[in-house]
Amino acid sequence: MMRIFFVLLVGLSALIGPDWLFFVTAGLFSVKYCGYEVILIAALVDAYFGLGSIPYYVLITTAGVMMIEWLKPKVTLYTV
Amino acid sequence: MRVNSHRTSRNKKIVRIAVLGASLVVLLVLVPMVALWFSSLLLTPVAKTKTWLAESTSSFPLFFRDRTELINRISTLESALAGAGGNQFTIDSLAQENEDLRSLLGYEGEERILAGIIGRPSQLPYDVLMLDRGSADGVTEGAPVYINDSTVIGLVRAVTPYSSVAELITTPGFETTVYIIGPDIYTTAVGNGGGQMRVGVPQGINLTVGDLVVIPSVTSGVYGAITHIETSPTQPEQYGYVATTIPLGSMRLVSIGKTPVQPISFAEAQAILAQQKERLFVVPVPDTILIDLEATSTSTSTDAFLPAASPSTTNAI
Repeated sequence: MMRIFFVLLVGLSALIGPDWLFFVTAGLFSVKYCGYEVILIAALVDAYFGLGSIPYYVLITTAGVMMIEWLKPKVTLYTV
Repeated sequence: MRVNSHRTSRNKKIVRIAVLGASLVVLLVLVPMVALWFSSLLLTPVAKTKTWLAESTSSFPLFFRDRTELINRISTLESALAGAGGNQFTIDSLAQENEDLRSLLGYEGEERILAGIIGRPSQLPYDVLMLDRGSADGVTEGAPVYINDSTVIGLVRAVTPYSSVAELITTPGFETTVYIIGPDIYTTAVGNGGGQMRVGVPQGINLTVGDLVVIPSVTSGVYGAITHIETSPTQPEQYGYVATTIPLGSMRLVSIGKTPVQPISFAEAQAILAQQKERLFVVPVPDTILIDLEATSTSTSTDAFLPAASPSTTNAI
Protein backbone atom coordinates (compact mmCIF):
# COMPACT_ATOMS: atom_id res chain seq x y z
CA MET A 1 0.00 0.00 0.00
CA MET A 2 2.80 2.34 0.98
CA ARG A 3 4.59 1.47 -2.23
CA ILE A 4 1.55 2.35 -4.37
CA PHE A 5 1.21 5.69 -2.60
CA PHE A 6 4.90 6.38 -3.16
CA VAL A 7 4.59 5.48 -6.86
CA LEU A 8 1.68 7.92 -7.23
CA LEU A 9 3.75 10.60 -5.53
CA VAL A 10 6.67 10.04 -7.90
CA GLY A 11 4.27 10.05 -10.88
CA LEU A 12 2.70 13.34 -9.82
CA SER A 13 6.06 14.94 -9.21
CA ALA A 14 7.14 13.85 -12.71
CA LEU A 15 4.08 15.36 -14.32
CA ILE A 16 3.38 18.51 -12.38
CA GLY A 17 6.52 19.27 -10.44
CA PRO A 18 9.90 20.59 -11.52
CA ASP A 19 12.60 18.16 -12.73
CA TRP A 20 14.54 18.20 -9.47
CA LEU A 21 11.48 17.14 -7.48
CA PHE A 22 11.00 14.11 -9.71
CA PHE A 23 14.63 13.10 -9.37
CA VAL A 24 14.53 13.53 -5.57
CA THR A 25 11.33 11.49 -5.12
CA ALA A 26 12.52 8.91 -7.64
CA GLY A 27 15.84 8.65 -5.81
CA LEU A 28 14.14 8.17 -2.44
CA PHE A 29 11.82 5.56 -3.93
CA SER A 30 14.76 3.69 -5.42
CA VAL A 31 16.55 3.70 -2.08
CA LYS A 32 13.51 2.38 -0.23
CA TYR A 33 12.35 -0.09 -2.88
CA CYS A 34 13.72 -1.13 -6.26
CA GLY A 35 13.10 1.53 -8.91
CA TYR A 36 11.31 -0.43 -11.66
CA GLU A 37 8.19 1.73 -11.39
CA VAL A 38 10.27 4.89 -11.55
CA ILE A 39 11.72 3.83 -14.89
CA LEU A 40 8.22 3.14 -16.19
CA ILE A 41 7.08 6.62 -15.10
CA ALA A 42 10.09 8.15 -16.86
CA ALA A 43 9.13 6.21 -20.00
CA LEU A 44 5.58 7.61 -19.85
CA VAL A 45 6.94 11.15 -19.57
CA ASP A 46 9.33 10.60 -22.49
CA ALA A 47 6.60 9.00 -24.60
CA TYR A 48 4.26 11.93 -24.14
CA PHE A 49 6.51 14.96 -24.04
CA GLY A 50 9.67 13.70 -25.72
CA LEU A 51 8.16 14.00 -29.22
CA GLY A 52 10.20 11.11 -30.59
CA SER A 53 13.56 12.50 -29.53
CA ILE A 54 16.13 10.61 -27.44
CA PRO A 55 14.36 9.42 -24.24
CA TYR A 56 16.55 11.33 -21.81
CA TYR A 57 14.34 10.70 -18.82
CA VAL A 58 14.51 6.91 -19.19
CA LEU A 59 18.25 6.97 -19.74
CA ILE A 60 18.98 9.23 -16.77
CA THR A 61 16.53 7.44 -14.49
CA THR A 62 17.81 3.97 -15.43
CA ALA A 63 21.39 5.05 -14.80
CA GLY A 64 20.39 6.61 -11.48
CA VAL A 65 18.42 3.58 -10.31
CA MET A 66 21.28 1.25 -11.29
CA MET A 67 23.75 3.41 -9.40
CA ILE A 68 21.56 3.47 -6.29
CA GLU A 69 21.15 -0.30 -6.46
CA TRP A 70 24.91 -0.70 -6.77
CA LEU A 71 25.58 1.70 -3.90
CA LYS A 72 23.00 0.22 -1.53
CA PRO A 73 25.17 -2.59 -0.03
CA LYS A 74 28.14 -0.24 0.18
CA VAL A 75 26.37 2.35 2.31
CA THR A 76 24.24 -0.03 4.38
CA LEU A 77 25.72 -0.46 7.84
CA TYR A 78 23.81 -3.54 8.95
CA THR A 79 22.67 -6.38 6.75
CA VAL A 80 20.18 -9.02 7.79
CA MET B 1 28.03 -17.89 1.32
CA ARG B 2 25.28 -15.49 2.42
CA VAL B 3 27.30 -12.49 1.19
CA ASN B 4 27.77 -14.17 -2.18
CA SER B 5 24.07 -14.93 -2.39
CA HIS B 6 23.25 -11.27 -1.62
CA ARG B 7 25.76 -10.08 -4.20
CA THR B 8 24.35 -12.37 -6.88
CA SER B 9 20.82 -11.22 -6.15
CA ARG B 10 21.94 -7.56 -6.26
CA ASN B 11 23.74 -8.09 -9.57
CA LYS B 12 20.65 -9.78 -11.01
CA LYS B 13 18.57 -6.79 -9.93
CA ILE B 14 20.96 -4.36 -11.64
CA VAL B 15 20.84 -6.44 -14.82
CA ARG B 16 17.04 -6.51 -14.68
CA ILE B 17 16.94 -2.71 -14.29
CA ALA B 18 19.30 -2.31 -17.25
CA VAL B 19 17.19 -4.67 -19.37
CA LEU B 20 13.99 -2.81 -18.44
CA GLY B 21 15.56 0.57 -19.27
CA ALA B 22 16.98 -0.68 -22.57
CA SER B 23 13.67 -2.30 -23.58
CA LEU B 24 11.78 0.91 -22.86
CA VAL B 25 14.27 2.98 -24.86
CA VAL B 26 13.91 0.59 -27.81
CA LEU B 27 10.13 0.71 -27.48
CA LEU B 28 10.07 4.51 -27.39
CA VAL B 29 12.34 4.78 -30.41
CA LEU B 30 10.67 2.08 -32.52
CA VAL B 31 6.99 2.66 -31.78
CA PRO B 32 6.68 6.23 -30.48
CA MET B 33 3.04 6.53 -31.55
CA VAL B 34 1.96 3.49 -29.54
CA ALA B 35 3.87 4.78 -26.52
CA LEU B 36 2.32 8.22 -26.99
CA TRP B 37 -1.18 6.79 -27.18
CA PHE B 38 -0.64 4.68 -24.06
CA SER B 39 0.93 7.49 -22.05
CA SER B 40 -1.81 9.94 -23.10
CA LEU B 41 -4.38 7.61 -21.52
CA LEU B 42 -2.66 8.02 -18.17
CA LEU B 43 -1.22 11.53 -18.33
CA THR B 44 -3.98 13.56 -20.00
CA PRO B 45 -6.57 13.05 -17.21
CA VAL B 46 -3.99 14.01 -14.58
CA ALA B 47 -2.97 17.17 -16.45
CA LYS B 48 -6.60 18.13 -17.08
CA THR B 49 -7.50 17.60 -13.42
CA LYS B 50 -4.52 19.65 -12.32
CA THR B 51 -5.48 22.56 -14.61
CA TRP B 52 -9.08 22.28 -13.48
CA LEU B 53 -8.05 22.45 -9.83
CA ALA B 54 -5.66 25.33 -10.45
CA GLU B 55 -7.66 27.48 -12.83
CA SER B 56 -11.33 26.47 -12.94
CA THR B 57 -14.01 28.64 -11.36
CA SER B 58 -16.17 25.66 -10.34
CA SER B 59 -17.04 25.52 -6.66
CA PHE B 60 -15.04 22.35 -5.88
CA PRO B 61 -11.62 23.61 -6.99
CA LEU B 62 -12.43 27.05 -5.63
CA PHE B 63 -12.93 25.47 -2.25
CA PHE B 64 -9.37 24.21 -2.29
CA ARG B 65 -7.74 27.36 -3.49
CA ASP B 66 -6.46 30.11 -1.31
CA ARG B 67 -9.21 32.67 -0.80
CA THR B 68 -6.86 35.63 -0.51
CA GLU B 69 -5.14 34.70 -3.73
CA LEU B 70 -8.50 34.61 -5.48
CA ILE B 71 -9.58 37.96 -4.08
CA ASN B 72 -6.32 39.52 -5.24
CA ARG B 73 -6.74 37.97 -8.64
CA ILE B 74 -10.30 39.23 -8.94
CA SER B 75 -9.26 42.78 -8.10
CA THR B 76 -6.39 42.62 -10.62
CA LEU B 77 -8.72 41.30 -13.30
CA GLU B 78 -11.36 43.90 -12.47
CA SER B 79 -8.88 46.73 -12.86
CA ALA B 80 -7.60 45.20 -16.11
CA LEU B 81 -11.17 44.84 -17.33
CA ALA B 82 -11.99 48.42 -16.44
CA GLY B 83 -9.00 49.59 -18.43
CA ALA B 84 -9.75 47.36 -21.38
CA GLY B 85 -13.51 47.93 -21.43
CA GLY B 86 -13.21 51.44 -22.78
CA ASN B 87 -11.14 50.25 -25.71
CA GLN B 88 -13.19 47.17 -26.50
CA PHE B 89 -15.64 48.94 -28.79
CA THR B 90 -12.80 50.54 -30.75
CA ILE B 91 -10.99 47.20 -31.01
CA ASP B 92 -14.12 45.42 -32.19
CA SER B 93 -14.92 48.00 -34.82
CA LEU B 94 -11.32 48.10 -36.06
CA ALA B 95 -11.20 44.28 -36.19
CA GLN B 96 -14.43 44.26 -38.17
CA GLU B 97 -13.10 46.90 -40.54
CA ASN B 98 -9.87 44.92 -40.93
CA GLU B 99 -11.86 41.79 -41.80
CA ASP B 100 -13.91 43.74 -44.35
CA LEU B 101 -10.82 45.16 -45.99
CA ARG B 102 -9.15 41.75 -46.06
CA SER B 103 -12.19 40.15 -47.63
CA LEU B 104 -12.19 42.91 -50.26
CA LEU B 105 -8.62 41.88 -51.07
CA GLY B 106 -9.65 38.26 -51.43
CA TYR B 107 -8.38 37.07 -48.07
CA GLU B 108 -10.72 34.43 -46.75
CA GLY B 109 -9.14 33.98 -43.34
CA GLU B 110 -7.91 30.84 -41.72
CA GLU B 111 -10.09 28.64 -39.63
CA ARG B 112 -8.61 27.98 -36.21
CA ILE B 113 -9.31 25.79 -33.23
CA LEU B 114 -9.37 27.35 -29.79
CA ALA B 115 -7.43 25.29 -27.26
CA GLY B 116 -6.72 25.62 -23.57
CA ILE B 117 -3.22 25.18 -22.21
CA ILE B 118 -3.16 22.34 -19.69
CA GLY B 119 0.59 22.20 -19.25
CA ARG B 120 3.35 24.70 -19.88
CA PRO B 121 7.17 24.62 -19.66
CA SER B 122 7.62 25.52 -16.04
CA GLN B 123 5.29 22.67 -15.03
CA LEU B 124 6.33 20.07 -17.60
CA PRO B 125 9.54 18.12 -17.93
CA TYR B 126 10.07 19.28 -21.52
CA ASP B 127 9.83 22.74 -23.11
CA VAL B 128 6.44 22.07 -24.72
CA LEU B 129 2.82 23.12 -24.39
CA MET B 130 0.16 20.54 -23.57
CA LEU B 131 -3.18 21.46 -25.15
CA ASP B 132 -6.67 20.19 -24.41
CA ARG B 133 -7.67 19.67 -28.05
CA GLY B 134 -6.73 16.62 -30.09
CA SER B 135 -7.44 14.83 -33.34
CA ALA B 136 -11.12 14.49 -32.37
CA ASP B 137 -11.35 18.30 -32.60
CA GLY B 138 -9.51 18.47 -35.92
CA VAL B 139 -5.98 19.17 -34.70
CA THR B 140 -3.32 17.86 -37.08
CA GLU B 141 0.39 17.33 -36.69
CA GLY B 142 2.46 20.25 -37.98
CA ALA B 143 -0.30 22.81 -37.48
CA PRO B 144 0.86 26.22 -36.22
CA VAL B 145 -0.07 27.40 -32.73
CA TYR B 146 -0.90 31.10 -32.26
CA ILE B 147 -1.19 33.23 -29.13
CA ASN B 148 -3.19 35.98 -30.74
CA ASP B 149 -4.30 36.85 -34.22
CA SER B 150 -0.88 36.70 -35.75
CA THR B 151 1.88 35.46 -33.45
CA VAL B 152 2.99 31.88 -34.07
CA ILE B 153 4.61 30.38 -31.01
CA GLY B 154 5.07 26.78 -32.09
CA LEU B 155 3.93 23.72 -33.98
CA VAL B 156 1.81 20.75 -33.01
CA ARG B 157 4.18 17.80 -32.81
CA ALA B 158 2.08 15.01 -31.32
CA VAL B 159 -1.65 14.49 -31.39
CA THR B 160 -3.81 12.12 -29.39
CA PRO B 161 -7.61 11.98 -29.65
CA TYR B 162 -8.25 14.49 -26.85
CA SER B 163 -4.99 16.32 -26.33
CA SER B 164 -1.94 17.45 -28.22
CA VAL B 165 1.62 18.55 -27.58
CA ALA B 166 3.03 21.66 -29.23
CA GLU B 167 6.74 22.20 -29.61
CA LEU B 168 7.59 25.84 -29.00
CA ILE B 169 9.73 27.94 -31.30
CA THR B 170 11.70 28.64 -28.15
CA THR B 171 12.39 24.97 -27.39
CA PRO B 172 16.19 24.59 -27.01
CA GLY B 173 17.75 23.85 -30.38
CA PHE B 174 14.67 24.73 -32.45
CA GLU B 175 15.86 26.79 -35.43
CA THR B 176 13.76 29.46 -37.13
CA THR B 177 14.61 31.84 -39.93
CA VAL B 178 13.76 35.33 -38.77
CA TYR B 179 13.92 38.84 -40.15
CA ILE B 180 14.89 41.67 -37.81
CA ILE B 181 13.34 45.00 -38.61
CA GLY B 182 15.84 47.71 -37.75
CA PRO B 183 19.12 46.34 -39.02
CA ASP B 184 16.95 44.68 -41.76
CA ILE B 185 18.66 41.32 -41.79
CA TYR B 186 17.69 37.69 -42.14
CA THR B 187 19.20 35.42 -39.55
CA THR B 188 18.59 32.15 -37.75
CA ALA B 189 17.09 32.26 -34.30
CA VAL B 190 17.72 29.32 -32.02
CA GLY B 191 15.38 28.36 -29.19
CA ASN B 192 16.79 29.04 -25.78
CA GLY B 193 14.04 27.59 -23.57
CA GLY B 194 11.82 29.42 -21.13
CA GLY B 195 9.97 31.34 -23.83
CA GLN B 196 13.04 32.98 -25.31
CA MET B 197 15.03 32.54 -28.48
CA ARG B 198 18.44 33.85 -29.37
CA VAL B 199 19.81 35.42 -32.53
CA GLY B 200 23.53 35.52 -33.09
CA VAL B 201 24.94 38.11 -35.49
CA PRO B 202 28.42 39.51 -36.12
CA GLN B 203 29.59 42.60 -34.28
CA GLY B 204 28.96 45.72 -36.30
CA ILE B 205 25.35 44.96 -37.05
CA ASN B 206 23.31 47.49 -35.17
CA LEU B 207 21.03 45.39 -32.97
CA THR B 208 18.89 47.42 -30.60
CA VAL B 209 16.56 46.47 -27.78
CA GLY B 210 13.03 46.74 -29.12
CA ASP B 211 13.86 45.75 -32.72
CA LEU B 212 10.89 43.80 -34.04
CA VAL B 213 11.41 40.20 -35.11
CA VAL B 214 9.30 38.67 -37.88
CA ILE B 215 9.05 35.02 -38.88
CA PRO B 216 8.68 35.23 -42.64
CA SER B 217 7.83 31.57 -43.20
CA VAL B 218 4.34 31.97 -41.80
CA THR B 219 1.83 34.50 -42.98
CA SER B 220 1.56 36.00 -39.54
CA GLY B 221 2.83 39.22 -38.10
CA VAL B 222 5.58 40.13 -35.74
CA TYR B 223 6.78 37.37 -33.40
CA GLY B 224 8.24 39.62 -30.71
CA ALA B 225 10.99 42.05 -30.00
CA ILE B 226 14.60 41.93 -28.92
CA THR B 227 14.52 42.30 -25.17
CA HIS B 228 18.18 41.99 -24.29
CA ILE B 229 21.50 42.17 -26.10
CA GLU B 230 24.63 40.36 -25.02
CA THR B 231 27.71 41.86 -26.55
CA SER B 232 31.36 42.05 -25.71
CA PRO B 233 33.92 44.04 -27.77
CA THR B 234 36.38 41.16 -27.54
CA GLN B 235 33.99 38.67 -29.10
CA PRO B 236 33.35 38.50 -32.84
CA GLU B 237 29.61 37.97 -32.38
CA GLN B 238 26.76 39.46 -30.38
CA TYR B 239 23.52 37.88 -29.26
CA GLY B 240 20.03 39.25 -29.08
CA TYR B 241 17.32 37.60 -26.98
CA VAL B 242 13.83 37.60 -28.40
CA ALA B 243 10.63 37.15 -26.43
CA THR B 244 6.95 37.45 -27.20
CA THR B 245 4.89 40.28 -25.78
CA ILE B 246 2.84 37.83 -23.70
CA PRO B 247 4.89 35.75 -21.24
CA LEU B 248 4.39 31.98 -21.40
CA GLY B 249 3.27 31.82 -17.80
CA SER B 250 0.29 34.09 -18.38
CA MET B 251 -1.06 32.33 -21.46
CA ARG B 252 -4.32 30.49 -20.92
CA LEU B 253 -5.63 29.95 -24.43
CA VAL B 254 -4.09 29.50 -27.85
CA SER B 255 -5.51 28.95 -31.31
CA ILE B 256 -4.39 26.17 -33.60
CA GLY B 257 -4.36 26.53 -37.38
CA LYS B 258 -6.16 23.84 -39.33
CA THR B 259 -3.57 23.54 -42.06
CA PRO B 260 0.00 22.44 -41.29
CA VAL B 261 2.85 24.84 -42.05
CA GLN B 262 4.39 24.16 -45.46
CA PRO B 263 8.00 24.92 -46.38
CA ILE B 264 8.24 28.04 -48.53
CA SER B 265 10.84 29.51 -50.86
CA PHE B 266 12.90 32.61 -50.17
CA ALA B 267 10.91 34.59 -52.76
CA GLU B 268 7.65 33.68 -51.03
CA ALA B 269 9.15 34.59 -47.64
CA GLN B 270 10.19 37.98 -49.04
CA ALA B 271 6.73 38.61 -50.39
CA ILE B 272 5.18 37.78 -47.00
CA LEU B 273 7.72 39.98 -45.26
CA ALA B 274 7.07 42.91 -47.58
CA GLN B 275 3.36 42.54 -46.87
CA GLN B 276 3.97 42.45 -43.11
CA LYS B 277 6.23 45.49 -43.20
CA GLU B 278 3.71 47.37 -45.26
CA ARG B 279 0.97 46.44 -42.82
CA LEU B 280 3.13 47.59 -39.92
CA PHE B 281 4.53 50.85 -41.16
CA VAL B 282 2.54 52.13 -44.10
CA VAL B 283 -0.59 54.13 -43.42
CA PRO B 284 -2.87 55.02 -46.34
CA VAL B 285 -2.60 58.83 -46.09
CA PRO B 286 -4.90 60.76 -48.47
CA ASP B 287 -3.15 62.42 -51.43
CA THR B 288 -4.36 65.83 -50.32
CA ILE B 289 -2.56 65.58 -47.00
CA LEU B 290 0.56 63.58 -47.92
CA ILE B 291 3.63 65.64 -48.76
CA ASP B 292 5.94 63.49 -50.80
CA LEU B 293 8.25 63.68 -53.79
CA GLU B 294 5.93 61.38 -55.68
CA ALA B 295 2.62 63.06 -55.15
CA THR B 296 0.61 60.27 -56.67
CA SER B 297 2.03 57.51 -54.53
CA THR B 298 0.60 56.81 -51.10
CA SER B 299 2.86 54.00 -50.09
CA THR B 300 6.51 53.12 -50.35
CA SER B 301 7.67 49.81 -51.72
CA THR B 302 9.27 47.89 -48.89
CA ASP B 303 11.17 45.60 -51.24
CA ALA B 304 13.89 48.21 -51.42
CA PHE B 305 14.77 47.50 -47.79
CA LEU B 306 15.25 43.81 -48.25
CA PRO B 307 18.81 42.53 -48.44
CA ALA B 308 20.18 40.16 -51.06
CA ALA B 309 18.85 36.62 -51.09
CA SER B 310 20.41 34.12 -48.75
CA PRO B 311 20.74 30.49 -49.85
CA SER B 312 19.02 29.15 -46.74
CA THR B 313 15.37 29.43 -47.59
CA THR B 314 13.53 27.35 -45.08
CA ASN B 315 14.29 26.12 -41.64
CA ALA B 316 12.46 24.25 -38.93
CA ILE B 317 9.66 26.75 -39.50
